[in-house]
Amino acid sequence: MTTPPPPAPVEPIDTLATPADEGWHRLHPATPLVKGWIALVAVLLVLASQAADLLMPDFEDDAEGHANPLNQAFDYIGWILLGLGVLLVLIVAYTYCYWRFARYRLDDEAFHLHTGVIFRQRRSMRLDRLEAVDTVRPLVARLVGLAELKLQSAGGSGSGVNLAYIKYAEATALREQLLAGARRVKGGADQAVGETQAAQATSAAVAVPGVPLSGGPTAVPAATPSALFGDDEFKDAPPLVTVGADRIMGSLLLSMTTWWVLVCLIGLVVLGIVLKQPEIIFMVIPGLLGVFQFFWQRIAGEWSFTVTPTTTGLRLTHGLFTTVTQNVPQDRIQAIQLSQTLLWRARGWWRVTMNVAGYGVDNPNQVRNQVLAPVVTEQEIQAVLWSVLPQLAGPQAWELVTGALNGEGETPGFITAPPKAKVLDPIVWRRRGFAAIPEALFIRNGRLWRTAVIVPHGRIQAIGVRQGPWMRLLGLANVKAYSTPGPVSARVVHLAVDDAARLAFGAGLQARLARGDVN
Amino acid sequence: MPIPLNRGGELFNPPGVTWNPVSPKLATARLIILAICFVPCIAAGVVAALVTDIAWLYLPTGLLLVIALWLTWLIVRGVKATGYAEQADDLLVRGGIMFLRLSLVPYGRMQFVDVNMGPLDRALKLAKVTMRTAAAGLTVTVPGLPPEEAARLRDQLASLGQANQAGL
Repeated sequence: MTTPPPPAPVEPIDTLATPADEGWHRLHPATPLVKGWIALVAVLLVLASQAADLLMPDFEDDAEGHANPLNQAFDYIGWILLGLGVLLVLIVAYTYCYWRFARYRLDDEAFHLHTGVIFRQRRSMRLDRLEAVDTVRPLVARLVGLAELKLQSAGGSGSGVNLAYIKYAEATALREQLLAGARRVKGGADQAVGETQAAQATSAAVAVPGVPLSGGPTAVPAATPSALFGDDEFKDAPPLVTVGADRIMGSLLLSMTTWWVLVCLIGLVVLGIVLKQPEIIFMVIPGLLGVFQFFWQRIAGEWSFTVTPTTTGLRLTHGLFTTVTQNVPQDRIQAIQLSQTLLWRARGWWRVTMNVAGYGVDNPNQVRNQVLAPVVTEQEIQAVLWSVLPQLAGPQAWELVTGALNGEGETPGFITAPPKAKVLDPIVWRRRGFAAIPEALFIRNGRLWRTAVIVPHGRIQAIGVRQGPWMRLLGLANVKAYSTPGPVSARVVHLAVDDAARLAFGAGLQARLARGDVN
Repeated sequence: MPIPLNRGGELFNPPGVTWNPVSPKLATARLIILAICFVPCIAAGVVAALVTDIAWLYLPTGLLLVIALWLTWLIVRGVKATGYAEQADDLLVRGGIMFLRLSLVPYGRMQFVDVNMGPLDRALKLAKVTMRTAAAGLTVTVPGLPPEEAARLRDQLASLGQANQAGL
């Protein structure tokens, strides 16, 4: 930055400044109710699953005269209701206090959030550390027009900022400002002239949410003004990918999980008939619950998935009840993986996952926000890929991508595992391999469950080479290109040692890697 | 015995790289820990066999002795196989005898560099340098450095990291 940041307004930590002062904002007044409601539903769900657990083992005990715990519960129904009422009051009281004390502000350099009732927390996230911005809208929040904004940073566990809840239009506007701000801060000194204007535009827009903001100096075309008012925020470009209900359902039908469940069901039925113990079929219930949860997560989480390029990055929207809008600047995507289960091959479907620093660090449940596209065809992969990594646009790189997707054995451009790897790796060795061009590294793996990984060299964090005794005997080695935490792992195993050396110390790769070239 | 630092062919000894070995005192430190774990067990086994006069009690004791000797051999060779090399753009760290490891970390990717010394390390004047990147599951450590060398390496890495800093 060339211009020094304006001095931050100093305020004692124990006071409650008036929210509208100096660009400080409050969360929406309905926050306690929405949060309280969601917390209550969560508690009820936990209780219900507990009750179901209690119920399960008592299936047979009833005959021996044991009381079913559910019956006991009914004896205390009054107490339970009272307990729930107290819980609700406590939750709402707590969330009210949280709301009362929470304030946020966006300035040139950073986003600030102050929270805490007894233990005050003041969190500032520098805009150049911003990795992605998610807008999450649980059903209740959607009904009342609110949204939660999640700012992801690469700082590791607990370093993100969650802003719940603000008006949806406000969230959309703030998100665009954050992303534009991050771009501006990262953009460097060449835009120093316009910076103060940008700051003014930014703070003005924050102060009056709903006022269309002018784009600022960075040639970031403004968040379309219409986006600030309506629910429809996707007017800037048509989505590259729209995954319809039929495809989501079809992909689940063709997933291996479905067929495993069928096989298990049939097996248990046969077993029940053979052993003349029909109740054996109940053994499937816990497993079915798990499968149901998996399907539910996929359906509810990835419903009407769209991928849209915007000026500030890639925008992903998905969700059935809870809708999520993810905004990921293209240069924050560290690695991409395409994977295809056996039964998807006939339809040419692929699942695209990504590593984004900041996602997936806090908890494993966040895996779903590391999906770049749940089910796409090769054409759609091309569109998404060229948008995420424009340097790969063109037929040459695309040939490598298709080689990584569908190639087996000798493929133009690919260095593959040598035939002597057959001993250690009888099935998959024909698929193992990599291709390196100045723009990116392509890795392919998996014979039945095919995967292909694409990593730009500049986003590789480190290189690791490994060799065990058998591999040394055969002259093989493993090479891994380390990426940030996430579902994508860029590893080539069972390469011939010379090829491994070429990958690990490849001409130019090391230097590019060290410089951290991006694009 | 061949010098294990040459093990692994050109892949683990890239042309033009000269490895800095770690201090042989690292083997001493590890052998002390090994002795702390094994000597009482073996002694107890021998004593028990002598006292009770049950001959087969020597069997597990002997087995323990063999394992201890094997581990001693692994430690001595493992320390000889550990090395690091500072290159223009990145740090190379290698280790392992049976399972060879080589890590290549560009200076600009290092998030932090630590120097650790345990009580035994302090007694033997050894230090361990740990480097972490933003990568999942990769921590690169160089154990068994003299404290001055560890401090020099840390400062060197820190300044090189600053100069080549690459964001995420």
